[in-house]
Amino acid sequence: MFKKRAINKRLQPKSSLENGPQTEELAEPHNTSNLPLKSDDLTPMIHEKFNNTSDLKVKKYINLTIYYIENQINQQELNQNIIGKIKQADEITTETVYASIAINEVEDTDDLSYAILRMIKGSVALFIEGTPKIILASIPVKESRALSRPENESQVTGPQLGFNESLATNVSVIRRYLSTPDLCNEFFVFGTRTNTAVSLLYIKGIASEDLVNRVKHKLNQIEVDALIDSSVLNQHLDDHSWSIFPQMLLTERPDRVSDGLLNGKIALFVDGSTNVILCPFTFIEFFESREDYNIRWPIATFIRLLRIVAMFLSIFFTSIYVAALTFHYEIIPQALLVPLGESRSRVPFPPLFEAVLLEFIIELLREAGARLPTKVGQTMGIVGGIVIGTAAVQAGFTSNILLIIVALSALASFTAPSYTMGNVIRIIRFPILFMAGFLGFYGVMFGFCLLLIHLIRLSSLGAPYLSPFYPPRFQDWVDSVIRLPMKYTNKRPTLTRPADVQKYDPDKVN
Amino acid sequence: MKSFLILPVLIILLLVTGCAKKNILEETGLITTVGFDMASSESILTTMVVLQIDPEAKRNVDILSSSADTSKGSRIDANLKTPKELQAGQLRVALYNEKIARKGLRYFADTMARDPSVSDLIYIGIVEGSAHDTLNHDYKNIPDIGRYLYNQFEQLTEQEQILNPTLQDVQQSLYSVGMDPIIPLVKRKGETIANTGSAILRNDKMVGKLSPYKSFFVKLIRDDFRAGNIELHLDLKNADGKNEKVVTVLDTIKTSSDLKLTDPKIPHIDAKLKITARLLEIRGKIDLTNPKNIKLLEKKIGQKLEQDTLKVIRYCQEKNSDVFGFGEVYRSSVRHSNLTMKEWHEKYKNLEAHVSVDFSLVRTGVTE
Repeated sequence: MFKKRAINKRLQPKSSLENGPQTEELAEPHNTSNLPLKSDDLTPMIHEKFNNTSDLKVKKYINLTIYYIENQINQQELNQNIIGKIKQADEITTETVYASIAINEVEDTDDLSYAILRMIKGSVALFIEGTPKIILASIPVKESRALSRPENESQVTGPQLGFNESLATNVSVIRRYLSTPDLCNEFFVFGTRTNTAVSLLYIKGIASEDLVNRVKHKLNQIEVDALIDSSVLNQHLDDHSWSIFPQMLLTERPDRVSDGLLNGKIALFVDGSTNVILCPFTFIEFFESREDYNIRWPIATFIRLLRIVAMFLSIFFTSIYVAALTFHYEIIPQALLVPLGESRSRVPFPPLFEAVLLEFIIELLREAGARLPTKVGQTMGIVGGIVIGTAAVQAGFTSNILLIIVALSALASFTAPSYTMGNVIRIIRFPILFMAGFLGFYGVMFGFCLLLIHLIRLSSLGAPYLSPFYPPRFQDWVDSVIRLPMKYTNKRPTLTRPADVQKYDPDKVN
Repeated sequence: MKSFLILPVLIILLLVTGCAKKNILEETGLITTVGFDMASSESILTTMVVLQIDPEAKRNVDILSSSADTSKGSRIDANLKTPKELQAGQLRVALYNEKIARKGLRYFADTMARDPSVSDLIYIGIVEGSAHDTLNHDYKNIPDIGRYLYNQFEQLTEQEQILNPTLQDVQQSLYSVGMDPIIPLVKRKGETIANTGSAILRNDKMVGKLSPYKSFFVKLIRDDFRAGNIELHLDLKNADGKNEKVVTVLDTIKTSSDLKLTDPKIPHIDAKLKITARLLEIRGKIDLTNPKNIKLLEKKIGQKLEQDTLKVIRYCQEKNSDVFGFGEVYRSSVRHSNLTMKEWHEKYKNLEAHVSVDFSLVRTGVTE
């Protein structure tokens, strides 16, 4: 199933997944392993390892003992393909077991801890009297749901396929997109308690070896007891864990992962997680969508610019309103003066308080909307819309111009194709808002400068976060904020230091 | 380690500088227009148009006036009469009474320019009559006199019917050697306010007036037109040899002027004007389908423009006001001239100007 296998050293399994009887070891009569020769001795050992769990089943058949955890394995497969086949054999030895059972994934081990681990993951352990080996046949219950649409990263054009919670399925989806033997899959296990499977994918010949080694090094350094979701692994891998900005992309779109891999990025799949980590990643790439390549370049450029404008709008628009109304009435255009003044004249609060209040209400609505079940969520939207939209203005609580501005910047924050980046944009608005309220435009600029300094200092797996703007890499500009026709975007971005820079010959492409 | 140092610095930076003065919009009395008159030989009568942003107020603006010896002093005095603190940051138009203009505008221009909250792009106008009366009059159809004036100035500047009348322009010509300011004239006519031409200044003192028609020729030399328009009266001989009065209206006038100092002693200035325009309207019997007539028309218009330009130059010379900026040409052509405004005004009286117009019509419209 996997091309290559590198089990984390903490687990130290002695056998690999490669199938086939290992006769050399069997031929040795003397018991060198820590396994007993009799099932009567083994059974209490396994029971003890499992802390006498009640779903551990032990079945005996002549000289064969079968151990499995009831709900982890496929009962039908056990009966048909293992027990049913073994019964047809004349005698039961390791060879006949290997020969008769009709399961793809069979291995044997003399390491009990490894066997226990495999049993948790859905293997059946077979023990033959007199042989200090455990044969493991993997027949896990396939409880994963079918592949469905990506809920959080929807696109109008392009494939409507999202990852699900199964690592194997997710990797196979990527294999379908990238049918090349160069796609390397390296296997890791994380969490001393959870033993979560993690796959590291990259394309050999494109991804820089240096980068791959860096990720592997980082992965090997991490020692945690549990790993539930890829977003947690993402935070473990971040260069700057104090930063508010996400330094790696979490995506549920296979096309986006494939695209990243083709650009020399590295993907990390975590079993049980619908999101795949793509790294290294830059700030501007969070505002790019895979869809930009599916539509014609002028439209794609327009949409990308729109997202950038929306980002600035979302961060600074409310702040500018507050600063202008509190300190710099001079800059308000003459035509806006009367409408602005009239809408403000009934509001009893200073502009800063008014803006913070409204932003807070919008955040409340958003958070409530994310937590509520879908059916109630719609009602919530209507209630929020009416309560905030109409009643707050009529009650003289807020001015309607601010309402438009706040709604606009909330809307703008949702244009970021990455949900994590959208969250960040919404949050960094608040400190800048306070700075605007206390120091005016000086504060806004101060906040902007701090933000910029921070962004310049950031890195993602050692790659500069603000690339291609700082350090300036002009050849990457053709596919960042703008997107030029394919003829001009024939080079892979320098960010990942790809081994193969040229994507295709520009003369052979329109 | 570094971050331990940065944090206190940031906090100090924030706290120490955190004492900017708040001017919350609705708590501020926004002066949009201001007018100055002479109250007596010393004191100034200042009229301020203050924007009312209360939706329940009957009038959109509040007119305050006060007498003081300085313009800022009058603001302090007027502040006694208002519930909101008066601020000049939204000032858009400043009007000066003719009497003040004749006494000198330098002080007023300076005090405006020195106030950082006042934009350099406010419009300056000189009022024929009283500024107080112009602003304080209860116009039937003008709810907000400040906005009306501002829009009018903006519109006329865009249409190139008046010369750039901003504070910056006035300051520039006040302080540059070899150029005198020209400021639009404004007059209340019944229930409207009209632009009545331009006031020409010698240094900072108003010395004469030009009608809107004559102001056109000042701009012709001083600036370039990009899309101006004008109505010209011509005397033509038609095919029958009869004299005929023809009125033409030109629009999208594009000009470029080339001024050369040909003789620094007299001084003699050669002005070459290249003008193209579209014939928008023509009144009189003339056959436009005949290309000869168009050539004739072009020639006549060119002559007319030449004559009238010279007339305006002569008038300004009489008043000794160099609104055309000939002094700038002199200064840039003569090395080490160390020209002062006083010297130039002496020379300017004797200046000889030669104007040649190269006029062509780009379009005459559909004619049958």
